[in-house]
Amino acid sequence: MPLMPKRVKFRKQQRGKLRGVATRCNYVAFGEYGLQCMDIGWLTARQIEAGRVAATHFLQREGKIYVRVFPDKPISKKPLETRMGTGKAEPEYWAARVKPGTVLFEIAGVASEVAKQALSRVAHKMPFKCRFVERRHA
Amino acid sequence: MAKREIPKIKVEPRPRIGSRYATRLRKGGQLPAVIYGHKKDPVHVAVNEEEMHELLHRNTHLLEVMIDSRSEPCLVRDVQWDHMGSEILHVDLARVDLNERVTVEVELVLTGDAVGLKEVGAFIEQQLKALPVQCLVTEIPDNIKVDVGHLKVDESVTVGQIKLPEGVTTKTSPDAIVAAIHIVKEEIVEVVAPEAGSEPEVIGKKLEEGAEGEAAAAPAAGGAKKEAAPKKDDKK
Repeated sequence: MPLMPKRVKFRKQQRGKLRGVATRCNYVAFGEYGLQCMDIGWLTARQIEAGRVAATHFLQREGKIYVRVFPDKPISKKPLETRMGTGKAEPEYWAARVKPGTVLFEIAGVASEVAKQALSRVAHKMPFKCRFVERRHA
Repeated sequence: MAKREIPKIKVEPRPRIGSRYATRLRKGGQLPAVIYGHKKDPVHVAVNEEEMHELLHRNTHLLEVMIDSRSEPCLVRDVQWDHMGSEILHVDLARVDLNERVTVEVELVLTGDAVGLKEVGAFIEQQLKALPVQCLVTEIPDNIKVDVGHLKVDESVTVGQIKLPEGVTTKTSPDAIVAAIHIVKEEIVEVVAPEAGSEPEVIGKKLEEGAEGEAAAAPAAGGAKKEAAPKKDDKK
């Protein structure tokens, strides 16, 4: 089941604007290798799940996968063939806000080549251009 | 510990500071940096970007900074990276005395093939990637090696078990876990389809409903009068 918050303060949110670059979550913190996003936009819960499944299938219970993004923004959508008006529509899905530099997934406990292949598969599931990054040492 | 040669780096003082001039510097293959500490005035300098990248790649902490005709030993205190983590934006260099004891973060490198990793689904999780240590400026190790060869599943190495080089101490709790071996939990595949109307709980919704119910029950007569009032407006 795709990710979504357990409790929220308000059911619906305004769309908002995405600007700037990632000033946090922009480095590999938990694993050894990561997948860094190079674009700006929304990443839906289904896309996150697709990426996670792709990596899990490839790694075959080897290593550990960290998902660094969480879809906490409800996205509303009006049903098809509905007239405009009558208030805001019901939430359709959940999305995470992603900015250039955000690390989306991390992998630990596998060799560099294996991690690269796994994250390449994940990158294909992402709606953005992504790149493979390694942990920067202190 | 054998005395190592301190890498030298040539810097130029930069008379103009600010983001515009810093951007110009970066375009010209240089980096803005600042030298401060030891109760002297801070000096704004420009460093060669490639040289700095190479030094930091080698985990260099101590530098011999050559400014004009003089030189002073400096410690790389902070490095500012861009949002993608690929380019250096700014470097902080702190003046040090070569006989001074300083606190620096040193990278922890795991060595040896752990016994526990031979089991299916086992992986090693490094929880502590760098260790803050106290040592003489001239004796800062490039990295600290942690042997994990003996580790079995669900075992861990703590800070207390690390063999620190001579003259190097740490204030980190000896019980802090550096690395541990875990088994990846098998993913439980749920066949049940997600509920159509599954939604998260709204905070405070139940409380509001409860309060409304109480309000409606208490002033029953008054409520009736209030209901009558809007009818007048409707007729108008």
